[in-house]
Amino acid sequence: MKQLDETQLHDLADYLRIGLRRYEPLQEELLDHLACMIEEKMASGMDFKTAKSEALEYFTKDEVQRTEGKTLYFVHTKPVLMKIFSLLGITIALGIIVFPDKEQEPKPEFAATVEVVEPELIAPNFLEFALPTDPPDIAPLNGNHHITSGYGMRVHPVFNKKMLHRGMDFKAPLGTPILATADGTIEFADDEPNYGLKIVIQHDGQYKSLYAHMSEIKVAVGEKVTKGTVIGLVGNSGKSTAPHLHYEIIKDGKAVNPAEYLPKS
Amino acid sequence: MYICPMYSRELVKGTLQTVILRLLRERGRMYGYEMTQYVKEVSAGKYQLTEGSLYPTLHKLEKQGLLGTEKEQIGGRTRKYYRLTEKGKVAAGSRIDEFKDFLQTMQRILDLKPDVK
Repeated sequence: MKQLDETQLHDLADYLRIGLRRYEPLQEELLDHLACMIEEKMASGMDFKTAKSEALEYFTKDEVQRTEGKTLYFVHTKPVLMKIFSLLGITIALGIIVFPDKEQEPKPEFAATVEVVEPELIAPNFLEFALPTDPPDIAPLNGNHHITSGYGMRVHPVFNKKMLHRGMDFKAPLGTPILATADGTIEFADDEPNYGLKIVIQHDGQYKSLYAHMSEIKVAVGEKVTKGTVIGLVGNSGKSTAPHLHYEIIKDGKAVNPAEYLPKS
Repeated sequence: MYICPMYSRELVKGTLQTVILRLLRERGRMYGYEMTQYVKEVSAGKYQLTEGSLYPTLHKLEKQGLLGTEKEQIGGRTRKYYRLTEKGKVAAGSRIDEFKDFLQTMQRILDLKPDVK
């Protein structure tokens, strides 16, 4: 079966890029699903345009937004709500137990009742669900902030033509430890022609961070890391002219200026 | 005789998790589209998995620790495969047993004739 080309895929990706909050992991899945649907229609003789409009009748914008909403609820909203309720419950329970003097006489009995009921229901959830993570806000190299190339248009040192530099370059000696700049899950940890040894961390629905040209990767795909965990070592792999860390922050699928996410120093 | 193109949303909604867990137990790893096509074929079009119900459920099961995922680059896009975790394999077994029991109970409640399969 013939596969869709890059232009056609971009066309579909643009269609899916709607809705107030874009949960990129789901966007990727829906793109694959939509592409498979269209490829199958095209295999039976339809051209791309017809196949696409037939598939989109089934995959309306409302449907996409609803799917995203439901998924975000299960993955993000519900755990956060559970966490808020458990914190509230524990705060109330502790408040009543710790400060019985401030209340009237009947309260101590009430406190005993609350103490028994609340923690049982809520404690397991409290431990299980994590708070939503903040965007990256520390530097990926400890103390070493020697920035050799910032975000924006520049002449690439290897390809020798004007290109958008999607991140920041930090010059550092070979083997300098690289830190995860926020909590998250390892999405990619492998070798690649341009970026060399590269790691991508998925932080929450909006943010990802990318670390490239490493000499060593210390984590595996799927692993959960916390802010400050050493994830690899500075190297010179891929299309690089000297040992350095190439660092990107990707918000809602687009590379943004990492300088805005570093501590003010 | 009941002739229906597709089952109602309520029926599908109530059985979706069991179907997904069973599917992955037998077939190993699958991606979303593959699941919808397989179920459509086996059910002769009667049991339709829509993206609107499938993907939220897959993500929910993943969050609960019953499914694990892996990604692959296919033709310029990323494909996400789902597979059962150890916890998921146990859940698949218990859900299927529960459903078999449920079928027998429904036969009694609805007073279905013994030869209804």
